[in-house]
Amino acid sequence: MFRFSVVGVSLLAFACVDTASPDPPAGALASPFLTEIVLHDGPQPDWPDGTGLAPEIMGPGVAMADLDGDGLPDIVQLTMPEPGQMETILARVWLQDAGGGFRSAETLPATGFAQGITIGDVDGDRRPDLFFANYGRDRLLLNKGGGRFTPAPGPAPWSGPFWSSSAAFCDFDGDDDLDLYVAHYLDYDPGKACFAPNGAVGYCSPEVFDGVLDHLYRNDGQGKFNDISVSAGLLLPDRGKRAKGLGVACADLTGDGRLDFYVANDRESNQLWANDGAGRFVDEAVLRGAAVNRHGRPEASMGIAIGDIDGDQAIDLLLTHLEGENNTVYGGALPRFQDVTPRTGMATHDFALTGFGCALIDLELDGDLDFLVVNGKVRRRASADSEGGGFWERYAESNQVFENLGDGSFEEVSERERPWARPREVTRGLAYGDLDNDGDTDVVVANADNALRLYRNDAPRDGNHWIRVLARTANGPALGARVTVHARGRSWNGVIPSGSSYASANDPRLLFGLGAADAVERVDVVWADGSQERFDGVAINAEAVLVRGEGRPL
Amino acid sequence: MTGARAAILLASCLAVGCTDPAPDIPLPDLAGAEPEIVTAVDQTRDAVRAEPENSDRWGALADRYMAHGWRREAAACYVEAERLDAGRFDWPYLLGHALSLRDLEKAQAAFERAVSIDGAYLPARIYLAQTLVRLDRVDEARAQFEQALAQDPNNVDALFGVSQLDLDTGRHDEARARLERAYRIDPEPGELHHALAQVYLIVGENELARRFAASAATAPPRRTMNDPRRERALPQAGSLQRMLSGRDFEQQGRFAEALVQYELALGNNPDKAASHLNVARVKARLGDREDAIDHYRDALRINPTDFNALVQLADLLERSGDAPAAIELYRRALAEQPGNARVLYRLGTALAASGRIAEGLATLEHAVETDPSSAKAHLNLGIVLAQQDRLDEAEEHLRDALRLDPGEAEAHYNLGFLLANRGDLRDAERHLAEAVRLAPNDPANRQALGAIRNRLRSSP
Repeated sequence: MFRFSVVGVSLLAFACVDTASPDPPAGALASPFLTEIVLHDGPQPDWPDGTGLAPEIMGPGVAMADLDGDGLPDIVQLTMPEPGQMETILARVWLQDAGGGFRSAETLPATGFAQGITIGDVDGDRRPDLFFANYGRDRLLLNKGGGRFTPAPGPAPWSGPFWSSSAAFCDFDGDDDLDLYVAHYLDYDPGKACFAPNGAVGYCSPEVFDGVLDHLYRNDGQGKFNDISVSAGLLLPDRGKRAKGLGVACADLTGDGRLDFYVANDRESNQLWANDGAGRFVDEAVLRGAAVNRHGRPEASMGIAIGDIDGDQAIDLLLTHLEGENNTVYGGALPRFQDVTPRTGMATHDFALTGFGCALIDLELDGDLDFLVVNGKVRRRASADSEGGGFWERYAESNQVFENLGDGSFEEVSERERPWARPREVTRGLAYGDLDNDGDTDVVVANADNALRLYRNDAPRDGNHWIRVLARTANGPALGARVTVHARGRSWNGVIPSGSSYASANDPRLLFGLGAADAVERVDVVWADGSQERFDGVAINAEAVLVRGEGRPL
Repeated sequence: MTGARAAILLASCLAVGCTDPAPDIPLPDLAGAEPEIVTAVDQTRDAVRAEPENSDRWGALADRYMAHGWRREAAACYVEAERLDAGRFDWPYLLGHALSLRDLEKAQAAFERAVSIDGAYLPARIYLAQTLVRLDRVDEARAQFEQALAQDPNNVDALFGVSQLDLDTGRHDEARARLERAYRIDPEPGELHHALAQVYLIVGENELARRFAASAATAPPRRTMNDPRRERALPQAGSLQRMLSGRDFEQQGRFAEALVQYELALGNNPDKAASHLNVARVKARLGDREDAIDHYRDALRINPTDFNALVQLADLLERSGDAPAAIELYRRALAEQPGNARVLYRLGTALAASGRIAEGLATLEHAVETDPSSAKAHLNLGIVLAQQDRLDEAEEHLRDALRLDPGEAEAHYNLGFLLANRGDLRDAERHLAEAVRLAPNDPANRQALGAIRNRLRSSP
């Protein structure tokens, strides 16, 4: 078990607030699985009122990855400028030390108005690099080792400036380097004022602005990127394709072994850019039933969670949405998806909440994926309530946890997860991973007021087993690759996270809860180029490092 | 109190958690609300206070609250209206809508009460069925959809709803039949195109699937249910309502009526740039150029960096022949949004039009580099290049514009003109005909097409 100790070396001071009750009295609520670790970083309680500029309420993302190669995941915190300011924003790297403490290793160079982040080794030096999706010009920072970063040399290839929201690194063309998809939100006009229904100034609805086409960049193998959006088919003539992207994920969603991109769009049909294997993509979201909900209605999609929620070996998509819409589950049943939200029980929840970052993770390692979502309005709450009537209270909402009942249906357990659900805040980013390397998944979330919260997973193990898989090529984690674990007659599959959640990047190690299965027969990996290998002799309750080429071809 | 009325009162109170059969008049938090809205709320509350036993007064107050986003208070008022007039359909029906965002089970109960009062009103039954679907009470939902179809076999919403349940349960042929029937009745709604694409894919009709997937992208938004009993007359109040109303009129080309609404919004918010901007834009459309310019300038006085005001005023000035002033405003807009391709191509065009060709071309090339997906940027660059007799480059950009937006009539016209000058009359005719098809009211298109056809007829 790790500890989030006070190891700040800057002026910042961490205050560790462990809110878990050690011994709940009889009749009390069950102990939460997620233990809250609040990182106080400056004056969040006095965060200035918003000014109506949309970027100030849409970020920030957050990331979790081992940045300094010590085997311990670190955190990248995107920090928001104070409301009304549109520039001069910094990102901060928090390096974890062997004792489980975090120190602010570096304040990264000014990157513009950072909203989203993705992480991957773009230049093959085995060190994960950082790409910032910005309101304004995007930015790539190369990892120079020891958790230090420097801007990528040479002219930036990024088109724009646009409002970039989320991004995903993955090797879509199977040439052993990481390419990059950047989702853009909209053509924002900061001078546009919008009103809430009661006449008060609020944040503009996305309908007020035009969408912006997303961009795809191919890595030349040396860490240089070329804009191939046109030749890849992303820049289609249909104006309707100028969607308003907020979340993106890379995975094989069509079952042909090639990596595709799924884009969550705000009040527009979502897109499933199917990879034809020849460098071109076609949006097949409509055809494959993943564009609009079961009522035929595009939703205000924000975050994407990917995983097999019902154990049918097909990847499912779970999308978070605006208030008035529930989280939507697109159940995978290749070659198509289907909105199966009602049968998952998700349709009765969260109508009143606006979801952003999200994750499908097996909290208690019982072999099924639970769902975590962070919330916060973008439309001003009309009435003040018991939580107060201050500016941000009008937008603040509780986060939620849903427990998988084993059949792909969910039950909300937010009441149990008080530390997670009790704060009413405006939360956007969510990243997950095994932060303390203890064999379960921890979570970090980021708020619009720059509060950063860590949640340590303390779920009772109850004899459940696990395996953590790091599937990698010579160039680091095989982002987007499909991993299937076979154990005691059951199979679990997942995708090495690339993109997903909202504006955030996750630990690339994939953690499977195996329940009572106490031995792993084998692990199969479908790599980015569609080739498949099996790995035998994998130990349970441990990390398996699966290197491409070292398994047996399937 | 009758037994039925007591039961409804109990159900209503359960819906919103009330305990007092005669609650105080709910009052939302009016902080930040516009004076016109506060006045409207006060007046409607006064009406309730004057006749507290009148369900219409409570319903009107609920409507007022719903219009301004105070759903919780609206629900409480609908509950009171229902308590006072238990047999009236409107109150549980509207209560269902008020609750539908935050409590599906209570919304379902309210819709069910509405249906029990007036089962012939199909929108209520459809909403009840849709709510039951969300609650995963599939059999009950199917029964409601089927009942709706028994009452109206051509009800597209019911056909669509039950087809989705068919898809859920693998009854693909039934789903297909219902969707095809719905499509025959109303081929427009986007949701039908989406669903047909999926069902055709499932049954192996891949070509049809792809066709409907393509048409789904351009189909009109989701079908709006004809639901007159939800559209209750409510005196408008507040900038938002007036702006929305103005926008609706504007989109319908009813500019004079739009102007009335925008001017009322301006009265509410004379210090907001957006209020002046709306008035200015519509006045410009109505030909009142001087007043439009005044309002644009007012908007810029309030917010000197208002991007839309800068660009729209620049557009107006450019059309009026004042290119230098337009160029200055475009440059100010670019200072706010550096690299905005739409402004870049406008600036480039204005520069070229005022004789500053090299600057104009450089700016247009910058626009194309900044946003290679902008058909307009390619179009305008192509036009200026053509004017400079750089026809090969011009043709390339005009074709790029058409590749990006085949519906760009101007690009067809200009490419047609260019091809005609090169003597490629057949291709020129094709593009000019397309320009006429896309913009039939543009006399230049028709004249050019006529001229080309004359030349073709006189050609050997």
